[in-house]
Amino acid sequence: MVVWTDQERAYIQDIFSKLNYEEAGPKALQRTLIVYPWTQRYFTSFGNLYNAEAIMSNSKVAAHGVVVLHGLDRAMKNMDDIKKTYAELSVLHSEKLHVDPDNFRLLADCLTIVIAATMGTSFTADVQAAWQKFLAVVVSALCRQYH
Amino acid sequence: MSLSDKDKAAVKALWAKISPKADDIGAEALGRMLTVYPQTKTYFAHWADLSPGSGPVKKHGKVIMGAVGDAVSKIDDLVGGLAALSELHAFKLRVDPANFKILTHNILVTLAVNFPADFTAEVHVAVDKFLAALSAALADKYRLTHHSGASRASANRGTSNDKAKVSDAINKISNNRKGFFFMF
Repeated sequence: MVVWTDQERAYIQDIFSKLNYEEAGPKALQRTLIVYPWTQRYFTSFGNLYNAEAIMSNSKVAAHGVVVLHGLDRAMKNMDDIKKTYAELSVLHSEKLHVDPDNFRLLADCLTIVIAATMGTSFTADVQAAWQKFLAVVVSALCRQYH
Repeated sequence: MSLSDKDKAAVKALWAKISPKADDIGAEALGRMLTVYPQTKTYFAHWADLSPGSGPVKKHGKVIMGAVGDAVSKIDDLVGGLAALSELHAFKLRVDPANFKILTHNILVTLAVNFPADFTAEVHVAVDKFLAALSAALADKYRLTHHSGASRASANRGTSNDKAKVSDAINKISNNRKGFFFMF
């Protein structure tokens, strides 16, 4: 059972309330594909990912970034049982998509950096701690159904 | 993952921009690390104050970023250039190398917070590669069999000893092939 303090809940709700899903999602996924290019292995159907410019202008990447962020929104709305909320998603990523779970951590780190860049100095160390705890719980829930 | 000329150029360009703020960046990155990854505090139990912005944190942040800046100037030979620092971390400080990744992450977050326009995805990948290469150079002197603590000669003896042990083990396994396969 994950225990959230009131302060942590407040920080996380605050981040999501200020987040533009249509901007942050694409940016995070683009950054992941550029900074960790081996992640492109899961997106061979997305067309041209040959260089940073191609990735940044790829509409499928952008669309999928938005999908990912809406998935995180669901976790935020069910913070007290992310494990259950993500059970099907976990099976999907393991059984159907065959994603190496280390990639969840890479995407999480890139999203953290996108949010840090957007929020600037209001992304304090305490806010960062709460946010990364949230992402760690999300990643753990996504990994749960792997066997 | 070796650094291309483009990576090195990107790192040097960013460093030129941020070096006036190096001390603050170091202090902030360290403060973030101690807050977000509390297990890292175990290496600083001797400090009076571990809170972000405290005297010891600011002082040490300056030391760290100074070393990063030095590494930028030695970007063409990080292993050679950081040999002494590596011995310090291996034999005296004995920092678990997994923590280098953690500090790297917090340096990247600090750069994103303070230089969002400059820290593009392309700069991010170059800096991440550089800090990974720096971390590897810092870990280079770890697990040398014989460590008087200093001389390169004893370090070399260590590695040839390792090679002898490994080929010894391989010989034993191939001589006991039947037994070995029987185990499975």
